[in-house]
Amino acid sequence: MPAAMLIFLTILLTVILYLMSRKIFLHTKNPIFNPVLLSTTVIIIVFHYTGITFDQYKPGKDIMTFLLGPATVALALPLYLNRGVLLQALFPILFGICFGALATLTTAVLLAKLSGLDALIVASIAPKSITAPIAIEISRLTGGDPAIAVAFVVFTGTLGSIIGPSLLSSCKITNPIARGLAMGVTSHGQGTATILQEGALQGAMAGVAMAVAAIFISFIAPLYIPWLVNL
Amino acid sequence: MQNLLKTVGQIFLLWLIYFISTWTVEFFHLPIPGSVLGMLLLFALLSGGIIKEQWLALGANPLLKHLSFFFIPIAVGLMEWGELFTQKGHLLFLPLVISALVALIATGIVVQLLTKSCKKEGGAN
Repeated sequence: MPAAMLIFLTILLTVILYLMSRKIFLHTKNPIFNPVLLSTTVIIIVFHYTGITFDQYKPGKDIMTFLLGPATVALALPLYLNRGVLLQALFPILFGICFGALATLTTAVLLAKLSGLDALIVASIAPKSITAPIAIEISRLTGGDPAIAVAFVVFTGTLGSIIGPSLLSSCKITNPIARGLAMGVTSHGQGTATILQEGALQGAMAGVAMAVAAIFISFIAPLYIPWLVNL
Repeated sequence: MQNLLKTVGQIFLLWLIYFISTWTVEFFHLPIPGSVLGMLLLFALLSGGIIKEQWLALGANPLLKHLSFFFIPIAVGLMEWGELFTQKGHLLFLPLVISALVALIATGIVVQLLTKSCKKEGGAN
């Protein structure tokens, strides 16, 4: 098969699987059926059985991710539209986001080190609560691998979406601001979509938490993550 | 047709901000991702009224709506790490689960306590 044909077919496969899994997700609203998890699993299985290598997929991947950068920049728009909610309690919100983001990153890295995982994995686990486009960039800057980082991001997003709301309730965290922020800090976009079902304030808070945590961790990551990994 | 042109133009504007930001990051050797600088730049431009929200909504909305599409091709890169996950996958479980619990509880409790004390102070005044 000519290379251009293969590139076209792998792009077509990715787009079709994304659209199908998105339909399934929107229909079931079950965090387990998130489009990234479903599509990636099916693509890897298809490639495994057809013998397509990741190198053959790379040109298609580069075409498909061309707009990821501009899309990440566009995250400023919802943050700007929701900036009003920050003013409801500026200090508690900012402190809570930074505290939570730092606590989860530190716990993940230290536990991964204690488990005897190698430096590449430990560095890739660090941004697991950060929204995927920025976690990818952070992993590149700190000696991790973008694909492994995305896997941890999606795992954490799914886990938080499943257990988050009930765990917060059982810990008597009932304040809508606290619930929204906790879900955004832990499970980024997936957590935001989940807690939005509780109310607009929770959803706006989660969106703000996701963006602020990503910016905050981006600034400290280049120094803090290598230091923590090599501790 | 007009909407399609608008959408493309607005995505181009976002791409331009991204391009300027990644260039700045590389030129000055800044230790932050270019996309994060781009986000901050766009936030500043919106806050300063230099760029209006309406100029971008049409281009930004489809990108944000389908943001997760972009992660799929990147996550497929995992196929190169299959061995690592079958050998060490079980070791990943505890760090990922415990750190997620820490994030939920730490953020939730800190914010709930701080907003409560803020409200009390407010009430006393």
